[in-house]
Amino acid sequence: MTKTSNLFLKACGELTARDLRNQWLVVRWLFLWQLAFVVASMAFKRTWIPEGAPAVALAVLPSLFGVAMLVAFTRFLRRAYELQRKIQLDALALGFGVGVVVAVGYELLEDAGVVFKADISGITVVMFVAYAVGVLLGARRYA
Amino acid sequence: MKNRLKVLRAERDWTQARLAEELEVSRQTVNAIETGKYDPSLPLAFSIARLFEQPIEAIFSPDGDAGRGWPG
Repeated sequence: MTKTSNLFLKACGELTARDLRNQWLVVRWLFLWQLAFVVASMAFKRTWIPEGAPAVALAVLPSLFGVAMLVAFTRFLRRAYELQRKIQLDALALGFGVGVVVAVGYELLEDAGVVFKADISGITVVMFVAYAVGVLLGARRYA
Repeated sequence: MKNRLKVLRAERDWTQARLAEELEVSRQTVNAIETGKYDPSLPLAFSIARLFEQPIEAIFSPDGDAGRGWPG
């Protein structure tokens, strides 16, 4: 684990050794998921992959990493001590809420012609940032 | 919810880290309970009561009980 990632994980609240290990697994799967997504997107845009089974396999691969991340996150939540679990669930609620509000609001702004048409994957970034802010705020609240 | 965790811990001359270790939670959890920022779950409250060998109601009480002789 790098020093920077370790510092970030510690900023998410005090973690027991078990929680830190489980959260690091989540980060690892998240990184692999995003990396696979970027590689697959580039491959499709630059037509590196022939249509048919290889293209389907490449489209499905990132989602498999995503499912692995979900499993790791569920495991982390289930085994986390209760205050950490509360911080995480509050942050997830914030991330989801902000995501829905921003998505609906942005759609109306699109209809009004105020903003450009955005890629749907952009909303995942908004949700993730809101979630990360929620974790940091929660960790600070109970510090 | 009010609690006497800090007093009980001080009586044993334990640090927050030591108590956290005994309860298998983080020091942050102990601090949050002591400062009243976080109310523990029932299982954790029972663990605390068992650790200090006292009934739960001798350690935790609703805020409204403060003027009624608690912990008595």
